[in-house]
Amino acid sequence: MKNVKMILSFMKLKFRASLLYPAGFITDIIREYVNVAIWLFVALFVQNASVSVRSIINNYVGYMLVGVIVFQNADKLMKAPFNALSKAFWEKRLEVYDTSNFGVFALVIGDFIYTFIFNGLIQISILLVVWPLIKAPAIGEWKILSVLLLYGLFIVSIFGISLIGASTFFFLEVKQGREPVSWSVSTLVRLFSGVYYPLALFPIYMRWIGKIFPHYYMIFAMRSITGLSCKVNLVNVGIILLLFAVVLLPFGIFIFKKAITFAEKRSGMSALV
Amino acid sequence: MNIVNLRGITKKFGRELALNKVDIAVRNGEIFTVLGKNGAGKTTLIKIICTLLLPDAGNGSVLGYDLMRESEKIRANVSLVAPTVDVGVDPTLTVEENLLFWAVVYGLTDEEARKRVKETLEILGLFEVRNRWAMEISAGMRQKLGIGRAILVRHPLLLLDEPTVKLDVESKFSLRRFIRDIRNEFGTTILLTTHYFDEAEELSDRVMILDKGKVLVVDSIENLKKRISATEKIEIHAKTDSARAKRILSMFSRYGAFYEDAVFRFTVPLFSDAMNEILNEFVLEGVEILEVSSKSPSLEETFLTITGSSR
Repeated sequence: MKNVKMILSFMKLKFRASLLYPAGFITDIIREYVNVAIWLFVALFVQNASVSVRSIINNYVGYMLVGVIVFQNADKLMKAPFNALSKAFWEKRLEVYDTSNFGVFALVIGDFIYTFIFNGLIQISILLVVWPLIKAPAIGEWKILSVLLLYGLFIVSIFGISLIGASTFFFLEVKQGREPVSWSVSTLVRLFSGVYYPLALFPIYMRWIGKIFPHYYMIFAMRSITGLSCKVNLVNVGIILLLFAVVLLPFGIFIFKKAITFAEKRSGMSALV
Repeated sequence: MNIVNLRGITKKFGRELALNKVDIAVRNGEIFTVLGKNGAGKTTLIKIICTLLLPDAGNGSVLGYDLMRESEKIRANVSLVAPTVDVGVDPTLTVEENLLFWAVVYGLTDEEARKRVKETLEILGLFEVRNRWAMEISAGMRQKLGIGRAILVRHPLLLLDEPTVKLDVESKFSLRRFIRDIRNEFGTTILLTTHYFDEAEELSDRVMILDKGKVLVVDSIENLKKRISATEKIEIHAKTDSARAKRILSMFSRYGAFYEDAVFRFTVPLFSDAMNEILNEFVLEGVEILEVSSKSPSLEETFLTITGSSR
């Protein structure tokens, strides 16, 4: 219970900081809308221009919207723990958080959940605004419970990846910018997991790459649930996402704990020694 | 009983040896000061004691918990105030919100948190500014806020790493008074690092002098001064001519004799045999003695003597 309260405190801290500087808060929302709008703009023209795309997908704009929203949300979440560590480090708070046994974990979990909620609300608002405009199947026909369950498993996997990425803060001494793990995953997912275009357009020998990331299955399942692509067996997708979650979360926690111990063996959590 | 009991603590950063087989024993309820120049290894030692850093070699216990195997228990019972103002202070929260945030992080219940935060604000003299942003208050107040975070939980061991560094004179004095009050009121054992000699002299029950990662001496201030009483200086104001002065200087060169502006200086303890010998010679030479005074070494001189930097 104490740990839950601690996590909530870190979430509140982040919320307070965003209220103190509302311009950043509003810019974040606008940026998310613009990012989605850019891809929808591209999709609109590709849909009309490409015969091969039209032969595979009925509603390419809707197809793109689902891919981009799932990807962007995951991408933000993958970066969240690293960014939280980096901010706390440079603002000279990280080491003091470490004086509490659960402090650094509470920081990264709190930041991850806050980002999930804040970013999730933005993505949902985008979906609600754009969905009626693109002549996609009605939202009311979605299997909401399946979406929540699958998304929950997906987010657990993403948290595992994000912890591995955050570990580079200590292992590789990457102190700001973008850490290499989430950057590599994002790049490969963007290219090979069918975020922007169907994998059917790819040579067969390259199609396996996207499948090693949970993003592929989540995007695939979401398009199926929203009626934008062929039906898939959601139970099978659920089992695969569960496997990802079961492997990635404990592995992420393990690596992150090792990273903290590694930091404590070296110069610690601050530049002051 | 020793609250901190560490032996052979060694820590390297790359090729640089930050701590070299350091032994430290801090007694229950005392204010123990680690005194050393910048880069002596004070912060490294304090971080090892609160388990934020792991030593490369050595072992021991803090509050009875094993340093290497029970770091979680140690952290749950030790408070640390870092050397720089603003460490751990969140600028996006008010003074009171900062303390309330830390109360949650340190696991206090809501009721305890409210009570302790109010008490702490009053003790620290921050109650009047409780609703101001942390970034708006002075550096001294922010340092007090950092200490407030550390004393919210009443841990039995408080580690203060150069707590008065960068503070103005008034804030320094008020903080030192506050440190004594914490010990007297709560019986907290305090381990302090500083490079201010007057601070160590004013606050400490015992002092450890650390130099280049090595412990040079551990003792009370008084004993430290006694140890180097040989460096006590006497000054003899006398009327004499230069020929006599030269003779006296050459006779007592072994006592660091020095003459300038009608004042002889000798490095000998007051009322010692050496002093008697010198005064006798003055009488034999017929030198008129106007005044004899002595100067005890300050802790700073003691420190410089021990670290071999005195010139």
